[in-house]
Amino acid sequence: MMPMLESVIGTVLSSFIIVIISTFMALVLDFLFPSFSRWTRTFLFFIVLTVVLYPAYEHLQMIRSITQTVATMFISIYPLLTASILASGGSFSMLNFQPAMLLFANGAVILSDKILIPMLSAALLFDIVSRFHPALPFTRMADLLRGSLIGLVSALVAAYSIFITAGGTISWALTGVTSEPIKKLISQNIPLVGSFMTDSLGAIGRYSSGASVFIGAWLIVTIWSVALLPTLKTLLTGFLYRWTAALIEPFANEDITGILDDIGKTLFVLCAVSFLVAFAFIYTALFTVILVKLITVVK
Amino acid sequence: MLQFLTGVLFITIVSSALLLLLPAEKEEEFLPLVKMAMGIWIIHSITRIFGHSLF
Repeated sequence: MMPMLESVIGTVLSSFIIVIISTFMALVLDFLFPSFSRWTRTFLFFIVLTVVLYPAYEHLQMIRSITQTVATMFISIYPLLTASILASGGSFSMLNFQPAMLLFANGAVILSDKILIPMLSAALLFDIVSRFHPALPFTRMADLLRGSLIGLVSALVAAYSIFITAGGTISWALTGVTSEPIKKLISQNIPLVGSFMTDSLGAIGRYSSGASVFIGAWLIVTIWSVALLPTLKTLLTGFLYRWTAALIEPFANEDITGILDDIGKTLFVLCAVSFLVAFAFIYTALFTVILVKLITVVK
Repeated sequence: MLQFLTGVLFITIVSSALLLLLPAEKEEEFLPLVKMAMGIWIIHSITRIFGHSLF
């Protein structure tokens, strides 16, 4: 966990230090040459954009490549899964296998590859345009894109969780009374995606607790951490953007803090998208492991 | 969609470069032109994406 944290902060922090220093330099230049303030603002904007957009773009690329990997995994595993389910017959009925889940997971991956990530990049572009050129605001469009993405993703996860709970798998500890305050805390403190995160965590948990009988807790923990690592990385980077915006707010231009805040918001939405992909990944991985285990036990 | 976004970006960059080069008092006259250009581009893109009986 710690090396991951260090690597994330290390890659992002250097660019944020450049932002802080260049903002301060622009402040000094504005003081020395007040007549050049418009040029200073433009140059500062370009410096900040080139430095700051790179980590965000890297995260977009990362989630996209993960999505493609998961989609390839689905396409390669699906015929195998179906064939083995047909072959193993009765022993599989206890897992209450739902083919609709696979369809959902596959659909979610395709959706996030074809719609969600292009929409997010468009939202990012609209944010930049409306900050760079305040006379041509696209803020409503960007907010609308982000809002509809969140709605789409949460509707999909709600559909997932309905499918899972309808199957009657054992409910997990996170939904219990003891964890309610923690869930409340997370959902209130992580902007935009907090409540979505706790809900979908509960949904994943409900499924994997049913599966832990077959494959053991450690393997589940491994699958979870592998699947949720990109999500955590994205969340952390989004927070770093907002922290930097908060740090430079007293001496920076409103545009610069605004753009940092907006990129942070977009990354939070990306985090929700990656959650969906992680969910699909967890489902497939668990299912494959259970299948292999069952085949080896039954034979 | 990509074409629309490229157009938006292009209009933004060109207009901001022109705004930088123009003197400050001319800015007021130039901004409506930029808005008109953006409006034409958006309406054109909408009719191109969704279709219209005129085109």
